[in-house]
Amino acid sequence: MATETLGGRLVVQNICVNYGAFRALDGVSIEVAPGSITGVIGPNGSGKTTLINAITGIQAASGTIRLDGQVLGRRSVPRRAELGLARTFQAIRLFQSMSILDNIMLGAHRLMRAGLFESVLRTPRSRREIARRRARAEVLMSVFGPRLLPRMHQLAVNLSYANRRRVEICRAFMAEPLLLLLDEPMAGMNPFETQELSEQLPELQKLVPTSILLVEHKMDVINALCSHVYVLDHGVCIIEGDPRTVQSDPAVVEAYLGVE
Amino acid sequence: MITFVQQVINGAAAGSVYALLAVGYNMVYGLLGFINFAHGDLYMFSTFIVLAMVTLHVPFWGAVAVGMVAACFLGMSVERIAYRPLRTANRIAPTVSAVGVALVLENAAQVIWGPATRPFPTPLPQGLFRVDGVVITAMQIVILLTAAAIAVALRVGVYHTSWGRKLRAIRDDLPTAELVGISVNRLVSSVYAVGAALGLISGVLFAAYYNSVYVTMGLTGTLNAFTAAVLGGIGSIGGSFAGGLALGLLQSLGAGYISSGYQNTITFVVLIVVLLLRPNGMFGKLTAARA
Amino acid sequence: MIIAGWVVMIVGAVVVLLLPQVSSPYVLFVATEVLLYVPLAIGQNLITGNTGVLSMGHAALYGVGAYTTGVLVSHIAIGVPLTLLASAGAAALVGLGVSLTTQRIRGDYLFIVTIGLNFIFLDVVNNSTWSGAATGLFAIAPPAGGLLAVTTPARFFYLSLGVAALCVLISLAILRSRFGRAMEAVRDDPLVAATMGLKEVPIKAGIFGVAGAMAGLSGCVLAYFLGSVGPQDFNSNISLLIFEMVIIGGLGSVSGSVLGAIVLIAVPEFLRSVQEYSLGIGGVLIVVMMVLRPEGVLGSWRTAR
Ligand SMILES: Nc1ncnc2c1ncn2[C@@H]1O[C@H](COP(=O)(O)OP(=O)(O)OP(=O)(O)O)[C@@H](O)[C@H]1O
Ligand SMILES: [Mg+2]
Repeated sequence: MATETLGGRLVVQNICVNYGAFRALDGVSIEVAPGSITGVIGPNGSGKTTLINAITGIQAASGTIRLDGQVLGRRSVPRRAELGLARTFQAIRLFQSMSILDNIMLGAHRLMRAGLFESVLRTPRSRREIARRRARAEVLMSVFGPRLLPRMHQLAVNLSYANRRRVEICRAFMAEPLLLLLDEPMAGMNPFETQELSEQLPELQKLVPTSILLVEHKMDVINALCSHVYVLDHGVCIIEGDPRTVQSDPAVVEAYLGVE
Repeated sequence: MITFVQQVINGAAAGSVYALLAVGYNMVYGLLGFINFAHGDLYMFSTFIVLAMVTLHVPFWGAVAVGMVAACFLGMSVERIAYRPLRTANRIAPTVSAVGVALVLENAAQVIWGPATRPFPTPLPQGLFRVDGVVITAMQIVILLTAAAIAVALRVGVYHTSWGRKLRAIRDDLPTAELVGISVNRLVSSVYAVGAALGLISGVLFAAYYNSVYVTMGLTGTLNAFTAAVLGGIGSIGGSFAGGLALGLLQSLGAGYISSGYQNTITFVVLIVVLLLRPNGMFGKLTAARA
Repeated sequence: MIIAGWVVMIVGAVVVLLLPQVSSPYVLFVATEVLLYVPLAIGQNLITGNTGVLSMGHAALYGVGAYTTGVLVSHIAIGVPLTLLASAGAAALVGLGVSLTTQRIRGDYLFIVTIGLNFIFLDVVNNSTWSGAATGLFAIAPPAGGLLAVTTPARFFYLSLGVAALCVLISLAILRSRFGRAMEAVRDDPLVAATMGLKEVPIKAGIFGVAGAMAGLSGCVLAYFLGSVGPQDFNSNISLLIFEMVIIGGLGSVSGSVLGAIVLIAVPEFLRSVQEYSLGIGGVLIVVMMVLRPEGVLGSWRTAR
């Protein structure tokens, strides 16, 4: 079930995003190595979400974005998803009227081979495919212990905040993406849950080999998970490097930690 | 050339009627970002009330006055009953509710006055003039003058009265307007009343111009006025007049040069093309859209 | 409970199947009429309830199906099955085309634009010779012999029943498949759906195609049933009626579509005293339902755009 080859190298060069006259990203370049967890930190409003929106195609940007050498250019949001991008949202966005399982299964849409007719007629091939994905969904859910599995037929709207986050993360992993973009997955979680999730993310990554771009506020999470981190401030990348070096840099202390 | 001038005059008259109806849409849309789907049926219904009064031998201007009061009352009641409770709901809810209101009005008119087209006798001048082979009816002059007068009055009302100032305050920022003590409900109510009153004037002019009143003029009124509103820039009061005239001209030139059987098709092709090219209307400002 | 459910279903099915034997011709006529509206309401519900597109042009798709049958029957003698297929195909193509041309138009504007579809359809049939202009087409009779020789009221009833049942099954199957979830995802949050690779344009167009095909089937049966088609059978009031059916029956629910068709066709037929008011009563119901429980009716619709 693993992804075919170890791909998922993201190269972002010199991208700029304007909201009217306001420049939210100003020549940012980052790189995510295959299989890595690369961090992005920065104070509120520094452009982290904007960066993810630009990479996923939600926000138009100038500059170049390449995934495994392929230029994303003007490709639409769904096209980029098909190429292997998946993401979560800072403000969780689940399909409220659907069950947990349905939400997670939708994540696998890009992988499903059975077309409209086969799915509607429920041919043996489409049934097998669904059974396989469903088993996969259960494996992913089981990473969170008893938090999701027993509730998988409940409506997403009834879940606790932390559980909705977990569902959204499972949904993104279900796509077996080359690159996964996580926008503050720990936001709103208590220290215990945060700790738990920073152990579970590498576990999920082992099940679904993918590169991860992790936007996060909490420094200890970055320290624990990331080998490399970029610091954004006012739409500019002020420094990059390994988390410990970056953290002690005076510019970061002033721009980021000073604000906190 | 004579045909062209003739079609322009006919189109301007019809377009003025659309414009007066489109104002009602645009005021509500500018304020609440909601299409009052029942506006056309209200205009039809209140025009029928005028006709009913005339049939009861009420003098014409008295009948119009009664129709005007009835239109305002209906407009405000519909707002109070079917729209106000949904102001904060999902934006689909008031739209669907408006469809319900439109159905009720249409059905009521059908039951009370029947499906037939009725003549509309008025004391308005019926003469016509010929200038170099171009025919201009007195009714067309009345329509153009009325529309112009109302355009001026609205301009004054919106930009030079305290009512207009409050209106613009709500349009720009409803919650803040409420905070500074503007009674939003009263103002919204008044806008529905004004829209309905202008709708009635439009209905009477329409009925007098074509000498007919019929139930389905409600829906076609809705559609023509909405198209006029989109052409002129949805939410813009001044745009209603530009859009109404533009639509009137397009329809009458289309009827003159393409085919008279495809009037509605022409309207909708124009509407679709404009919406695809300029989602906020030909003359609309991009800021006019409220999410 | 489950057994009780099955018993109800089986008894219902037997009653429906035996209806032509036990009921008066009038009841059978009304039942056929209800069945003709089932595919229409189901299609409208797929479009509006499940995919979240406010569309008000269903009568035009219905009309395309009926006129296709009318034209085909007067020109070439193909059997009922082929005519059904051709009518469904023609209406599906029109539905697809409408959806593709209007993709970029915002929800509430689309509502008005699709009402225009009714008017455009009427303009076309009223001004063309192939459609018999304002008088329409007459003497649309199915061939007497052959596989589906629908010549008696009972056979019409069974044909409509077959078509309605087919549409119910197709609709249930679509909604149960992953495409059912995909439609709802596009309805509830198009942006998130896009980030998962769900393409709004083909999904919506596909649903319009399916709903068009269903409307086309109904139109074909109607043309045979009435023996004629005319512009008055497909005006905007028919679209409003179909729209009412899915709001009152329940957005997004197949059984709701069936219920809506029964409530808005059969009840007014049998309660002659209210028939004249049925459209308006439906309107009152819609307003009341919206004002009292908009979320209940609209479900989790999140079209805040
Ligand atoms: N749609 C938009 N229109 C205009 N300005 C925007 C828009 N989205 C974001 N911004 C602005 O762009 C800047 C960057 O926003 P962004 O959401 O990327 O920040 P962030 O780093 O993700 O912040 P946070 O930590 O709060 O999530 C902010 O100043 C924000 O106000
Ligand atoms: Mg952010």
